[in-house]
Amino acid sequence: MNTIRRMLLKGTAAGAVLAAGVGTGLLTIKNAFAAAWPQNAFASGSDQEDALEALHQRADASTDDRITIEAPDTAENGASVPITVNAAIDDIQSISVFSEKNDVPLVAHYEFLGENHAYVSTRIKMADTGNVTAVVKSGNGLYKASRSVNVPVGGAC
Amino acid sequence: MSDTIRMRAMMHDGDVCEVRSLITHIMETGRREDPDTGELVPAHFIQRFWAEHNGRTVMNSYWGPGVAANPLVNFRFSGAASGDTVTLNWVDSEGQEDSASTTIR
Repeated sequence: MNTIRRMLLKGTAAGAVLAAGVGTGLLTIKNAFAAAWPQNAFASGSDQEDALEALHQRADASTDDRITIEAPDTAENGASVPITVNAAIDDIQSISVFSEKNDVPLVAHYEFLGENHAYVSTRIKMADTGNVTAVVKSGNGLYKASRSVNVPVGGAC
Repeated sequence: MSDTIRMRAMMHDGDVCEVRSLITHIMETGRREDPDTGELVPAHFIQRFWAEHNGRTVMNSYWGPGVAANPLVNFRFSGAASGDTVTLNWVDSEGQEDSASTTIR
């Protein structure tokens, strides 16, 4: 994507072709703005392993009880389910949050500057009853924890 | 003042700062039908949300359509002190953006 942006900025012939593509809707300009958004990790119909491969080039996270997920046992509304992830692990580089039944299972991917005991709290959409999973990257390790949430009324996702 | 970001930053424990924020955004997934027309409402959601502490990025996140509308985000980072500046920024799938700053209490 950076290459594309550089071509556009330099106004090369290839850039002109790309600019034409933008104009005709073949390419959308929004992709040029969100250069670093990991599109493959947020693919429709993907699963957690696909997303982890896209983010980390591996998917073999080991279950670890140093990660805790706070969430309601039953969500009042699948469109907004409060979740909190605490990870009592040193040197955390990222936390990824998944809702397994969503069309796009990866909800959010948070990167930190090597935090100890990283914490993040947010509200997510859940399509159906299923697991919320947090995957933590620390050093060369991938660690995960899951928690089941009952969702009687799924959110539009 | 930002129209879309409400935030607070306060010292939590030692040099750890806790940031609490609420963002006004539709977070449209692109899979919802307009009840009047029956057509899909185009996707429009925040894709990147990040935090700077005295100008240095301390948290960077990428979001999909699964983050709830009007997102709430609370997080912590270390190396902070009361009086420091925290800035939050977002950019969405349409290239719209906003940012806001506050002083750590």
